[in-house]
Amino acid sequence: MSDLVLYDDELDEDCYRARLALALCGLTARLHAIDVTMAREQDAPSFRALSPAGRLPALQGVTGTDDLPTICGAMAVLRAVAVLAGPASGWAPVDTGEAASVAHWLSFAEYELTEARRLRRLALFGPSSDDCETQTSTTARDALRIMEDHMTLRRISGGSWFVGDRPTIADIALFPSFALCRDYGLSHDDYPALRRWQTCVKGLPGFIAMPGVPEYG
Amino acid sequence: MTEQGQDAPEEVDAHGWRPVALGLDLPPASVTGARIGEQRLAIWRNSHGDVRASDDRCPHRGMRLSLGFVRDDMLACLYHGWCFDAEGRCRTIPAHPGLKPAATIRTTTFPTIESDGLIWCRVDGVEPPESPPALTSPAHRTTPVRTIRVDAPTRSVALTLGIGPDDRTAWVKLPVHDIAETPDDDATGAATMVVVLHAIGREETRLYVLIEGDAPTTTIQRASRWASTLRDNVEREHKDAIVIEHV
Repeated sequence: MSDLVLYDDELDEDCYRARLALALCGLTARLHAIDVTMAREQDAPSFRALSPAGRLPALQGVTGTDDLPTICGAMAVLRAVAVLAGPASGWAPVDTGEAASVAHWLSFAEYELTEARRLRRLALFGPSSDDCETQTSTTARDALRIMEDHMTLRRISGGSWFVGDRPTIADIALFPSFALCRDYGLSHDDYPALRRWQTCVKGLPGFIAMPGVPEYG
Repeated sequence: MTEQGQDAPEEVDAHGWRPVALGLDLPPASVTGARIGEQRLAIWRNSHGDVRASDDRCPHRGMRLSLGFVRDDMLACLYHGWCFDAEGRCRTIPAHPGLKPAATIRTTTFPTIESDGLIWCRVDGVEPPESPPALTSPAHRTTPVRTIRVDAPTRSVALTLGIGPDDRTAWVKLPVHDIAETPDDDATGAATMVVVLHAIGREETRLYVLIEGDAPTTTIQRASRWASTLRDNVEREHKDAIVIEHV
């Protein structure tokens, strides 16, 4: 297998998903920083050749051949990393029910948490051309509530993770949106079940932080 | 329907004690934020299980201590790692490892008590000879269900639950069969749910849900789902009421 290269933006939460997945799975990738600020390198032809939609993160070197594309987008990278880690690692369960549940939560992270990602980007980096004027955190709050309600039921039945008895890529997909929610003004205090789960995630071997996610707590 | 049937719902004079967290939600060596009136609090637990409450402000740069962490049985500020002991005295300043911090560097602390599965705190400065309200008879233990935030005034939540609206903290007991999911569902038995309300702000209420005595997992999960539904209903009604007011 060729060497892995992750095209990365340190402050982007989707890129953090990818870095966290690699770290937790014990895989090493060379980080290639893409400057999405003034230089807008995500629009440069050289990057568009790898990631046609200009999407980050992008993972190169998984497929091993030149005619297969770079893996673009956090959820695709998580799946790819889980495959690289192997079925015994458990990051992508093979049990039918658990695999389906993981697919459910990856979809949730992709769609229901869109507003959470957008609000954070807005709070930290200001509006971009595709942002409308009226902002509300209700949609983001509702998504975190769905996660909180789920993890409350999981805690009651003795579970620590979103799916099954061990951490999966569902946990990695959901973790950054909760860990970073203070960036756009939501408090962790209202989500005790998610806070408990956050402590479990931070205790995993290989866990890495990012700006806005303290190592402790 | 309340335990008292059609009678006036039970109200509790909390004697200045206010519920700030479910004990379950504060594991050893952790911290959470809370609020009583205008007072913001950092509620933390050391590794031995003891609970402490401190003003939620680091005297160094004003950082909220509830965003910090617990280390060596002290509350540590996330910003520069200043550590405060149970009495609120600063014991460690990582930037000056050899320095013994002056006794005047401290944060205000408040009394706390853990009982019936809840952590209570008071910030009125009254020496607390008396205990927080007993939610259940001493013979009973309680089974914690969950904490849930409702974005509506406590009055709205209280009205929905049939509690008198005036007290800053109130609680109500509901027979669990009231929350059966199907009419012939009697798996819940005769358990009683205890719901404690705490006003966080004008438009924000925190509910602590517990069950008297032991309860099977299915009953606890049902009580948790009941709380989610209550939250959604109260918020919807509150939102509708605001729309009507503005028509």
